[in-house]
Amino acid sequence: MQGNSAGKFPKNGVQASIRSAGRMFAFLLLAMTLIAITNNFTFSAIQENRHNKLIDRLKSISDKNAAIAWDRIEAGKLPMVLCNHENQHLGWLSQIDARGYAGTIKILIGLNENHTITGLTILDHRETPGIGDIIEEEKSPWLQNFVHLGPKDATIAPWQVKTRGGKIDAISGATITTTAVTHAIHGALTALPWSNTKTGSSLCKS
Amino acid sequence: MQILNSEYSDTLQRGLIHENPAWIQLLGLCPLMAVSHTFVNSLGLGLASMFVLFGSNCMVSLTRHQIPEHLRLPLFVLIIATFTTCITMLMQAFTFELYERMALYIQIIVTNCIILSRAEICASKHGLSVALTDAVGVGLGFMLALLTLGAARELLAYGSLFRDMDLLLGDMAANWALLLIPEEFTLSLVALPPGAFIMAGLLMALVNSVNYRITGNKTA
Repeated sequence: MQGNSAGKFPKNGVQASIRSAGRMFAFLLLAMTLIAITNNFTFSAIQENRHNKLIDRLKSISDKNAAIAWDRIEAGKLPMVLCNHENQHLGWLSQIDARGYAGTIKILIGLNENHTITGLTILDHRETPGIGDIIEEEKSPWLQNFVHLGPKDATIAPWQVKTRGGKIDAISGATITTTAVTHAIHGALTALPWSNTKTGSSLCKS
Repeated sequence: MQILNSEYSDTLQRGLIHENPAWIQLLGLCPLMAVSHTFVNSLGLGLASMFVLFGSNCMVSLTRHQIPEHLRLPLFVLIIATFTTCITMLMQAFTFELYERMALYIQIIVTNCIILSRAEICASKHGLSVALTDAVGVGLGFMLALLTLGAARELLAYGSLFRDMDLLLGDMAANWALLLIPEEFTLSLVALPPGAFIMAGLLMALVNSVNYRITGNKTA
């Protein structure tokens, strides 16, 4: 590189800076063109993939028998109000956080209109693979223990894992993880705003 | 190798074996260890890295007379970043789930020393055909390292081979998973970061001892 191409460039001065900047700019334009072409080619497919993934996820934790108007759902805001096409309120979807063994466990929770849990899924966690990751639905059905529990169940005093005198079966080796998840779900059934706010069709008017 | 001109076959062999980017030069180890706990992850990352390596080697070689000496590093990085951005978009469009699994490690292909070193050592000094041959050799070398580590780790950690291949290859690969070791004999350590180091070290030792036997090189 020391030879021909470098020789054309003056070593210093304003002219050299401008020429360097110009060269950089030319390459930048080339790079932007390539990215713009790829973007143009892939943009709609990416948007569709992201939306479908989210809707699949949401469908999996909501009441399968309810006629929820999925086509009206827009990605993003949680808690999300679920309605049917007749503006009838059918449930909620929201995210709850548990403080696990190695960071925050993000759980997506589905509730029907009576605040009974219709489904749970783990959005993200950093628990130990092979131990704490049994909360993932692919690894173990443990999380499904909570499905069909409602606000009435949340008032039962020993809402704790069995090793601490409660009713939920903790998984040996992952006591911290399972306790954290249990408490977070209990919190969702008692403390979050939806459990005492209005219900019914007023939520669904857009 | 007879069909190839000996210069090209040398370049290929160097990238694949004698100067294998991962096992001999010890470059690109971060993505190598981080995603290689299943075969399909390895294959995905390997293909993405090859795409970027091809694009970067090709573009650097074609524009090598326009790249002034003192601007070469920023321009190489710009070129590599461009192709990395393109592959992240392409993967999100066509193999979305696989991309989601290892998003960060696709994005940091941009900092993969293998690609920058090929731009600097080879592509900026040679014509298109040599640069492309080099990209094939080095790309396949990295792919080989990824696939051996991926297969070994998946086998020991999950007892399977080729699981989830449908994420990359579509529905035809849905039933490719082979369950070779029953679950109670698997070692989840191998799927964890320390397991990556242990397995990579063992494979490196194996490759070096094979290389030593082939070449008989006492200093290897």
